[in-house]
Amino acid sequence: MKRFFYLVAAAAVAGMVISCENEPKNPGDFSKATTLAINGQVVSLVTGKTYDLKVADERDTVYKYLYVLKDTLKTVEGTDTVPVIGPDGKPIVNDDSVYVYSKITARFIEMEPIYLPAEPDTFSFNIESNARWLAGVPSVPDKCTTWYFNHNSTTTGGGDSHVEFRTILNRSKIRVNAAYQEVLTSDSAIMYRIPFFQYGRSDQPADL
Amino acid sequence: MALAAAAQATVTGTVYEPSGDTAIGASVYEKGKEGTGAVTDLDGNFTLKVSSLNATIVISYVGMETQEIKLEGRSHVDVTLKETQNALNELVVVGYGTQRKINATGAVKTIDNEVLESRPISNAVQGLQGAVAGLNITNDAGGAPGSEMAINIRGVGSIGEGSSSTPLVLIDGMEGDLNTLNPNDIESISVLKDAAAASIYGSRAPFGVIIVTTKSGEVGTRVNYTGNVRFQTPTNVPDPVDSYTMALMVNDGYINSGSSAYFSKNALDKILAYQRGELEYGTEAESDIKWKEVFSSWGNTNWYKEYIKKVAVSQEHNATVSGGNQKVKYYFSGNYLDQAGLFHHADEKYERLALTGRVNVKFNDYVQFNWTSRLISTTNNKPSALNGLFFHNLGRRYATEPLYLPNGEYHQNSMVQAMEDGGRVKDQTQQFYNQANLIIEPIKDWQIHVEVNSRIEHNPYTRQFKPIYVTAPNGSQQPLNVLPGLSDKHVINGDGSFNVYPAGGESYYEKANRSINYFSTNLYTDYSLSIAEKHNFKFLVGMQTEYYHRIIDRVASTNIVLPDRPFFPSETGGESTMISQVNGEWSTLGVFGRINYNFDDRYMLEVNMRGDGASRFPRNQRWGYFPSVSVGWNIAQESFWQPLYQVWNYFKLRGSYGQLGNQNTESFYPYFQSMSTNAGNVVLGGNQVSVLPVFPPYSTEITWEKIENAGAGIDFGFLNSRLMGSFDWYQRTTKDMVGPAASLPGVFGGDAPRTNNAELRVRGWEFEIAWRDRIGKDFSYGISGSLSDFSSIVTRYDSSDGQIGKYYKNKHYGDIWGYLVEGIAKNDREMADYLAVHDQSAIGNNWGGGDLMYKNLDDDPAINAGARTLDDHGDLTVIGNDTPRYSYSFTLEATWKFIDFRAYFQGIGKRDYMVGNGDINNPMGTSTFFGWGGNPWQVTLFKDHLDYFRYAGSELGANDEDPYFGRIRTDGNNIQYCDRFLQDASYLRLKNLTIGFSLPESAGLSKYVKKARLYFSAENLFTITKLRMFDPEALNVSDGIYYGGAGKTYPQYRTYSIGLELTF
Repeated sequence: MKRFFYLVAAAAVAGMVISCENEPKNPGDFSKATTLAINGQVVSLVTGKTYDLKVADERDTVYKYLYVLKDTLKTVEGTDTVPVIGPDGKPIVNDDSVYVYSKITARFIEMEPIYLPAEPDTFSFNIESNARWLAGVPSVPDKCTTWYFNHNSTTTGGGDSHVEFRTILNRSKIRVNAAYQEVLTSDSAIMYRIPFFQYGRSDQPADL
Repeated sequence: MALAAAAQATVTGTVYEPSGDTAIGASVYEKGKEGTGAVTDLDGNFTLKVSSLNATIVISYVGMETQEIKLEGRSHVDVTLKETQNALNELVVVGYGTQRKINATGAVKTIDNEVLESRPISNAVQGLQGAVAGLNITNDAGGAPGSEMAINIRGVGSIGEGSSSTPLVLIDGMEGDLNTLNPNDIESISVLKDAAAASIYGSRAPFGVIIVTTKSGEVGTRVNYTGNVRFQTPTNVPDPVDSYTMALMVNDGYINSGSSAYFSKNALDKILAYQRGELEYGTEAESDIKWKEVFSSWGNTNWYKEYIKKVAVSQEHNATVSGGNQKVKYYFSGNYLDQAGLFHHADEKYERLALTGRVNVKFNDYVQFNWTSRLISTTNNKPSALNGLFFHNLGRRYATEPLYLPNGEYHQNSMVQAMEDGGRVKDQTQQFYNQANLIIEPIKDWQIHVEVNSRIEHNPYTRQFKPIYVTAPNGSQQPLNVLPGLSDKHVINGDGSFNVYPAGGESYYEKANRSINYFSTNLYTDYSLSIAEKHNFKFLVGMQTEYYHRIIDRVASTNIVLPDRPFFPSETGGESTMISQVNGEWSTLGVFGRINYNFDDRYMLEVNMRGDGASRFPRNQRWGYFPSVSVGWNIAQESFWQPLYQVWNYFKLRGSYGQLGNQNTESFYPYFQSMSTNAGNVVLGGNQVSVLPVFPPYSTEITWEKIENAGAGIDFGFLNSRLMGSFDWYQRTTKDMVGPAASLPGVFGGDAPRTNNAELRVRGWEFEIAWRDRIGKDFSYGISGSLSDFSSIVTRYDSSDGQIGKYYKNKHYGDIWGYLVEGIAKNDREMADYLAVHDQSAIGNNWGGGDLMYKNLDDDPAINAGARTLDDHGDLTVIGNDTPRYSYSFTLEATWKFIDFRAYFQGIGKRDYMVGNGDINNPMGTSTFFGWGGNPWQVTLFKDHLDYFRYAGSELGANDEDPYFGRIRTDGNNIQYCDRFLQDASYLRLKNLTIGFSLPESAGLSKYVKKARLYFSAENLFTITKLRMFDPEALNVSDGIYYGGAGKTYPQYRTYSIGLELTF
C-alpha cells in the first residue's frame, strides 16, 4: 500500500511541475545610460557654409524646478488660526515661489556662440544619441521678434539624427535676443545649449 | 445403462484471461457440437457434458485465440487463453456492415473506446483529436463549456456558397450528434475517409463518414460505475501590466506617434500613490452623473485576474447495467456531466444528462431484434454578456480603472454588473433517439435488415438583457449597457435569429424554440457466397429514406415589465416586438448496392453504386448517381511471399476511385429565390415603411457539387501483426462549387448570377503505425503514432475583381498575404535614409527610429498594398499559410501488474498564423498581439508587449538592441501583416496522461468488487510551441459580429482529474 501511495504522490508532483507556464518579463535594460553628442558643424543647406560647433563649458548641474504654492494669508486670533480677509471681503491669497532641486544630475554642455548671416537660410546639425531627445523651440522675450524656427516636423527625435532650423532676413543690425537652442535627452541626463546670434545686413562681416 | 452413462461424461473447469482474470461468458463446447455448449459464469467456471473424457473441447472468447483442448481422460481442466495477435481478423465497420481488416479495400480506420476511456473530456469529439490520421478536429474557439469543435476529414472540402463539408456522423446507423453523445457509451468508432468507403452513403457523405457503434449487453450481468472529479485551470491567461507601467506605455504610444504624453507627471504620481496604498479610491467624480474612467482614473486592476478563476471544478458520473443470456441482452446507462466555467461573476454551467437503453433479442436462429432509445438533455447557462464582445472588451479594460467606486459599487466599466445582473442565456438541447433494428436470416449467410430510426429534438432557448444601473456621484441611477460600446440595435438576421445590442436600461427578453423531427428507414439485404472456398462474394442491396423537418419560432420584446419574472406583454405589434419563424424540410431517397469479391483472401474488388434523390434540387436535377470502385491485393497471402511471412505477415496494396455528390447546402431550398422585407428608406404618414426588394438575378442551372476521390494505400504488418501500419495517398477534387460569375456590363442592372463554376483540389497523405507486445505475464505495452498532411488549392474560380483576400484560381487555401520587413530602424537617421529611397507614407506617417522598415518588392518606390488584387498587390506577397499541416499524434501505453499508464501526445507540425483583425480589405494586427490596435480605443497591454523598441533613458528600460516589436504607437504604424510577426503556431501537446491503479486480486475488497480502478488523468498537461502569448488552440474566434482574434476568446484549460471505476 505504501508503494501505491508513493506512486500516486510522484505522479501528482510530476504533473504539477511539467504543467508550469513561463511568465513574460520586461526585457528593458535599466542600467543603460543615455548618450548625447553634438559635434561637428552647423551646415547651411542653402550656401553650404559651415560653422564649427565647439564646447565652451561643461559641468554637472542639478535641475531646479519652480512651482507656485498658493495659500491663504493667516493670522492668530486668540487660540485660532484664521484667514486674513482683504478689503474685497475675500481671504487674501499668498503666492509663494517654491524651488525644488531634482534628484537628477545632468551633464550641462554650453557651446560657443555661433553667428549666423543676415540672409534667410536653413541650417542643420547632427546629433549622436542612443536616447529620445528634445530640441525645444527657443524662448523669445516679450516684444522681440522670433527669427529662429525649428524646422523638424516635431521637436523630438530618437537616436542619431539631425536638427534643422531656419532663419528669417535681418535687415538692420545684429539681433538683440539670441536663440538658445537646447537639446536634451528624455531623462534630462545630458543637455546642450547652443547660443545662436544673427547679424544684420548693416553689420554683417564681409567674410561671413 | 452403464454404456449409456459412459457416453455422457461431465467435464468442469475454469477459463482465465491472460491477465489472470476469469473469463466471463467464454463459449465452451465439444468439438463438432457447437450447438450444445456451455458458457462460463462470473467466476469463469463451466460445466459441460461431453460424449467421453477423451473428447476435445473448444473454448472461444472475444479477443482471444480459440483453443482446442484434448481432455485425455481429465474431468477437470483449467485453461488460460491467449490474446490473438492476429489483428488481421479484426473487423472494421464499413457502410452497412463489417469487413475483416484483411479484406477491406477502402480507407477505413476503426478505433475502440480506449482512446476515450478515463479521460476528463466533455464530449467524444474532444477525445478523438489526433486519434485518426486524416480526421482533423480543431478547436480555435477556446474552452467554453459546451463549445463544439470543428471536424473535417482530409481537409476543407468546399468553399462553395452555402455548402457544408463536415463529415456525416452516424450513431448505430442513424445520423446523430457526436457532441452530445455520452462518450462512455461508445464501443468503437470507424472513420470512412474515401469515396470507396463512404459512397454507399451517397450524397449525405461526400466528405467522409464517422460511424459510431455504441455498447451492447453481453452475457453475464455487470454493474459498472465510473466517476471522476475534474479540476480545470486556465492556460495562457494574458498577464497585463500594472497601471503605472500601462501609463508609461500609453505615454510612449502617444509620443511615438507625434503627440504629447497622455499622462502628466501629476497623473503618474497619483497612480503610484494609489499603488502604495496612500489613496483609498482609484477614481472620483468627474461630474454629477459620471465617475472618472479610462485614463482619467488611477486604479490598479488586473482584469484577467479579477475575472478568470484559478480553478474550476467539474464532475462526471456514469453508471451502466448490462447483461443477459444467449437470447436476450440488455444495456442501460446513465450519465451526468456537470461542467463549470472559468469565469468569476458568471456562474456558468454546462450540464448533460444522458440515458441509454438497449435491448437485443434473439428470438431464434433466424430472427433478431434490437431496440435502442437514447435521451440526451444538455443545458448551457451563462450570462448574456459573456460573448465575443466580452472577450474583446476584457483586454481593453484599462488597468487604471478601479474595480470599485468610492460608493462601494462596481465601477461602471468593470462589466461586473452586466455579468451578474445583466440577464442570462439559457440554451437547452433535448434529443430523443429511437432505433429499431430487425435482422432476419432466412438461410445461412443471407441477412435482411429493417431499420427504423427517429430523432426528435427540441432546443428551448432564452436570452435576456436586464436593465442595469450604476449610482452616479449625485446619487442618481445611470443606466449601463449590458454590451458595452454597442447600443440600440435590433435586427432580424436572414436566418431568423435576432442581432440585438440593447440600449442602456432596456429590458429585453427573447425566447426561441427549435424543433427537429428526423425520421429514416434503411432496408437492405446482404448475402455472402463462397465458391470452392476461394471465390468469396458478398452482395448488398438496399434503400434508404430520410425526412427532416425543422421549425424555429422566435419572439422577443423590449417591453418586459418584470425583468426578474419575464413574460411577454400582450400587445398588438408595435416597435417593441420582434418575431420570426423559420420553417424548412428536406427529404432524400437512396438506393444502393455493393459487390465485394475476394479471391482466396488475395485479390479484392469492391464496387459500390448509389443513386440519391434529394428534395433540395430542382425536379429535373433531383437525382444523382455515384459510383465507386476499389481494389486490393494481399501480397503477403501469395505463395511467393511465404519465405517472408514469418516476419512480414501482412502486406496489402489498395486503390480506390469514386464520385460523390454534395447535397448539404445550408439552405433547404437553394434553387428557390426569396424576397424578404426590409425597413425601407421611405417614410409615409410618419412611419418608416417596409419594402420588398426583388431578388438578385439567379441561374436556373444550379446543380449538385460533385466530389471525386482517388487514392492508393499500403497496409502492412510484421511479426505476427505486433507491428501494424498503413500509408495512404489521396486526391479529392470538389467540382461545380457555387461561385461568382464574371461581371457583366453595368447596363445589366445587377450582379451576374452565381453558378457552379468553382473547383477545389485537396491532396494529402496519411501514415499510421502501431506496435503492441507483451513481455512475460505481467507487462504489456504499445506504441502508436500517426502523421498526416494535406494541402488545398483552388483550381477554378471566377474572381472578377481578383482580390487577394478572396478566392481566386491557384490560390492555396489559407494563404496569408503581407509585407516583408527589412528590420527595425535603430534611430531617426537610419529611418530618414531609408525613407529617402522607399516612401512609406501610404502605410503610416511620422516614421522614425524604432519603427519598421518594409521591403520594396516592386518598381514603385512607394511601399503600399497596391489595389490588393492579383494584378496589383503592390509590395504584398504570400508570407505564409494558416492551414494546419503535418498533424501528428503518438501514444505510449503500458500495463504492469495492477498499474496502467497512457501518455497521448498530439500536435501540428506546421502552421503559420497572423494575429489580425480578419479584415480582408485592410488586414492589420490586433491589440491583443501588438498592445495597440491602430486607434486609441484598441489598447490591450500585456507584459509580453513590453518587448518593444525603447531608447536608452526610458522609464521602462532601454530595449534597442533586439526588440521584437517596433515602437508602440497609437496609430497603425508597425502593426501591418508582415513576415516579422508571422507566428509559428505549430505545437506538441501532451493531450492526455493517465495512470491507473487496479485493485489486485489479492486485496480483500476483491471479494465484493469484480474490478476496481483508481486513476489520475490530466488533459493538456504541457505544450511546446513557439507561438507567442496564446494557446495554439485558441486563435481564431470571430463570431461574425464582434471583433475576434487570438486573445479574445474563452481560455483553453488544463484538466486534472481523479476517477474511480467499479465493476460488480
